[in-house]
Amino acid sequence: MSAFEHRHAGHCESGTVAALLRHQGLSLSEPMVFGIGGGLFFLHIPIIKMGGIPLTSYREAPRAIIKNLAKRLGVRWREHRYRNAEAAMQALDQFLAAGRPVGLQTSVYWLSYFPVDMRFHFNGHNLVAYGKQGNDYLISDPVAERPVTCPAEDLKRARFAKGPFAPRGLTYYPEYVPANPDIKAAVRDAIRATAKRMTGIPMPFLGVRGIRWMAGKMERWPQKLGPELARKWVSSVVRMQEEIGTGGAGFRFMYAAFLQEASELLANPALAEAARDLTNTGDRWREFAVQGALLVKNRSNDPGVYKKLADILRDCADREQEIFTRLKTAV
Amino acid sequence: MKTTDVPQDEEQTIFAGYQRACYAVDEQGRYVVVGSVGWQVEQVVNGQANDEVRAAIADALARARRGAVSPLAYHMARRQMDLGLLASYTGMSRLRIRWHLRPRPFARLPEKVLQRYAQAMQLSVAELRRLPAKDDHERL
Repeated sequence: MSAFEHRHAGHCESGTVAALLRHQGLSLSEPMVFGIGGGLFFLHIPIIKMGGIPLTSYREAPRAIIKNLAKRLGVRWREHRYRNAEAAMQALDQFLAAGRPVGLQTSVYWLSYFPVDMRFHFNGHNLVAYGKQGNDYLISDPVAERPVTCPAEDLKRARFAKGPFAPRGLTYYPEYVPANPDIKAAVRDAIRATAKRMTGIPMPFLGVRGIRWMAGKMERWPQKLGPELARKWVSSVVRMQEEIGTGGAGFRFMYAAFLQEASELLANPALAEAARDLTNTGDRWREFAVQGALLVKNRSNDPGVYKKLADILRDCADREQEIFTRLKTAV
Repeated sequence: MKTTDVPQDEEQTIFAGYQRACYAVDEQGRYVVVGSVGWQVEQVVNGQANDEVRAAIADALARARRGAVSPLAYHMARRQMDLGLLASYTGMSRLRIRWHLRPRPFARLPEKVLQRYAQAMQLSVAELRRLPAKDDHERL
C-alpha cells in the first residue's frame, strides 16, 4: 500500500474527495474541489424540519461535490452500498488489502474517536479508510488534523446507522481520474453555475433569496415560537454555519479561497476582487454567529437582538447578490 | 478572517484536543488553513444542543426511577434516540416501542426482544434492564 497523505480540511465531503483524488495523482486543494464541485449554496426551508428545527444549509446537497467533479473533470466514481454489514466490512477489507483507500459515509454518533460533545445522530459524515491494523481501521478523517484509528465494531455501526440519509454502507472511490483534465474550463463552468444558483432560482428559500427569507422569519421567531425555542433555532443556524465543519462562515471563506486560486489559474483579477469581497462577507457571517451565540448565552428575549441578527443576514444577502451577479459575467 | 483572528480559546473544550480547520487570510493576503483549538461561539451553540440532550437524559432517568417509565426510556434518551430512530434501528413499530416504555410490559419482555434493543443501542441486556446508580453517568 502506498502511503496515504492526510491533510486537515474544513469540510468532510470536499476533504475526502480531495484526498482520494490526490491519492490517484490529481492534486487539487480542498477549496478547488469545493469550488469545482459547486459546493457553495444557501437554503432555508421551514417546512422541512430535522428534529423540529427548520432545515438550513450553507451548501449544496450531500454528494453534490462528488457528482459535479464527475461532470466537470471527467472523474468516474464507483459507489457501493450494501444490505449486509458483515459483507460491507469484508468488502472494505478487500479494498484496503488491494491498496485502495476508499471514502465512506458514516454517522458521527458511532465514531468513537469523535469528541463526545460532537456526537449527534448525523449520518452525512465522510471519511477515508486507508488501512487496517489488527482490529482497528486507519482513518483519514478530513476534519481532524491528524490521522485517527477506529475499532471495527464502531466503524461498522457508523456505516450502518439508521434514520435520515442512512449511509447503507456507502463506499466510494475514483475508478478513473483523467491525467490532464481541463481545470480552467471546469472552474469557469463551476463559477457560472454557482453564481446562477445563488442569484437566479425564483424560489424564496434558495440562494440569496433564502438568506433574506430567513432574516424575515428570524425577526418573527420570538413572537411565533416563544423565547426559548427562538433561541434554539438561532443556535441551530449558527451550528450549521460553524460547528459542522465549514472552514468558517458557512463555507464562505473556503469559497473565497477557491476564487483566489481561480483568479491566478485564469489570470483574472476580477476573481481576486470577488474573493476579497466574499472574505468580507464571511466576516459579516462570523459577526452573525457571534451575535447569535451571545443571544443564546445571555438567554436574551430582546426583540432588538433578532432585528440586529436579521439586519446582518440581509447585509450578507445584499453582498452575496452583488458578488455572484458580478461573477456570472466575470468568467 | 485574518490568520491572527482565528479563534484560539484554549479554555473551550468541545474539540477535545482536536483542532478545527479554518480558512483565513495571511499577511500577504493569501488563504491558508489555520487550526483553531476552540471558539466560544461554537462552545455556546454546541452547549445549547448538549444541554438539551443532558436535560432529556436527566428527565428520563428521574421518571424511570419513579417507575413512571421503563429503563428503555432512559437508554433511549442517553442514545439521543426518539421513537422514529429507535424504530428504524430495531425494525420494530413505534407503537410497539411506545408500549415497551411502560415499566410492566418492559419487565415482561422476552430475552429476544431485549436483545434487539440492546444491539440497537450498543448495550448489553443487563445494562438495558438497569438504571445507573448515580446521576453523574456518561452521556454516551
